[in-house]
Amino acid sequence: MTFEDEVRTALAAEARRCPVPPVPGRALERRGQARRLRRTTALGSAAVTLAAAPTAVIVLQGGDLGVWSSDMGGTASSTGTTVTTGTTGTATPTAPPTSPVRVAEPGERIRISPNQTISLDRSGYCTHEYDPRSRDEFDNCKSMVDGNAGPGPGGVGSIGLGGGWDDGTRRNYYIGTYFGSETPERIVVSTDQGELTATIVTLPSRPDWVVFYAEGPRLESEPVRTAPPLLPGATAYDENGKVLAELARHEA
Amino acid sequence: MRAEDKAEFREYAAACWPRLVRTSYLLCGDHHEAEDLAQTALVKAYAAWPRVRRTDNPDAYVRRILVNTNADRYRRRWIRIRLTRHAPETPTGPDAMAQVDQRMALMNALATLPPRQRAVVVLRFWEDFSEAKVASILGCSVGTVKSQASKGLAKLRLHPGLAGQPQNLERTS
Repeated sequence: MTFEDEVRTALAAEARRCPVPPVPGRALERRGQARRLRRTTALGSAAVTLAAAPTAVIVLQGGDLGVWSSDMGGTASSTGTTVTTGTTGTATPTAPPTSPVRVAEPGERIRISPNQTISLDRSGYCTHEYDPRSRDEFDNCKSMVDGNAGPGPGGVGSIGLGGGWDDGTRRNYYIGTYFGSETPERIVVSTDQGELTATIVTLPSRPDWVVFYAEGPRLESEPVRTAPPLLPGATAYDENGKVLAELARHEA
Repeated sequence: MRAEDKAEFREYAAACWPRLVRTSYLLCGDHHEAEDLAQTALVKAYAAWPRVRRTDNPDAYVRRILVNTNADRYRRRWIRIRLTRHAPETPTGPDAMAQVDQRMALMNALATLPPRQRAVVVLRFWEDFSEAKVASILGCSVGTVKSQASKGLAKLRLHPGLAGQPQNLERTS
C-alpha cells in the first residue's frame, strides 16, 4: 500500500468518526432566503453609496430551526451544544454580582461583540458573525428542541459554553446556554483571566432555557489558534447561591 | 425561488449533507465547527441555487463554497470551543493511550497544513476528486494541485504522530 493509499484509508476512518446530525432543512431554507434578500439589499445599497459600512442586517423573524424530517438523510447523533449537570448546592462568595437579564423579542438582534449578534426564537438561537473583510455575514443556528440539547437527567440544570477570539478588540467572547426550570440569578464564566459575570438573554415564551454571553478582558498577547490547556467553564447559581448547573474547567 | 427549485434543493441537501459534514470535519478538525461550516455552505448554495443547479457539477460548486467559507473563518480567527457533557475519553492503560494518540495523530498532522494545502489533501484523498476537479474547485492550476498535494503528503509523512504509518489509525477504529 502506498503512502497515498494509507492517507486515504486514514482520512476515511477519521471521517467516519464524525457524527452527522440530521440535515437542518428548515434552518437552511430560512437562512438561505434571508441571505438572498440581504444580498439583493446590499447590491441595491452599493449602487447608492460605496462608503457606507454594511452594518444593517436582515432580522430573522419567527420560524423554527427544526429538521425537515427524520427520514431526509443523516443519522441521529448527540452533537448538540454541550452540557454537564450539577445538582449539589454550594455557597458562593458574599454579595456576588447578579447577571443582567435581557428579555428578547423573537428574532431581535442582540450584540455580544463588535462583529457578532445573537437572536433567539422559540426553537433555538442563532449567532450572526459579520466579517468586515468580505462584508459577509455568517449565521450559525442551533436548535434547542431537536433533542441534541436539553436538561440533564431528571430535569436538573445543564449548561454549555463556547467562545472565540476577536482580533480587532483583542478579547475573548463567550456564549453559552443553560437549561433548567428557573432563570439563574447569576451565571459566571471561569477563564484564565478570572471570573466573568455573564449577561443572560431570555425569551418570554421559553422559560426553560436561556442564552448567556460574556466579554473577556483585553489581552496584550494574541492567543494561539489551538485551544488553551484548560478550557473555560461556567456555573449557574440561583438567588441563594446554590449551584444550578456547572461546567467545570478541564483540560483541552 | 420556485417550488420545484426548493424541492430540488431539499433533495440535494439531504443527499449531500453527511458527506459535506465529514469533509468539513476534515477541513476544520472539529465536529461542531464542521456542522456549522456545512450548514453555512448549504445556505450559500441555497441563496445561489438557480445558478448552482445550472452548473454541470453542483457538488464541485458547493465544495468550492465550503473551502472558501472555511478559509474565511480561519482568517477571521473566530475560534469556537465547544465543551461537552463528559470529560474527554480517558485512556485506561498504555495501549488505550497509544490508540487515542494514534487517532489524534492524523487530525494533529492535518492541523499543521496551511488551509489550502489541507483542502487539497482532503479533496484529493478523502473526496477522491481528480486533480483537475480540485483545481477547478480551488480556482488554481492542476500543477498547483499536484505540488500542494505532494507537499501536504510530505508534511504528513514527517509528522511525528503519523511517523509514516497512518494505517495504525485504521486498526484502532
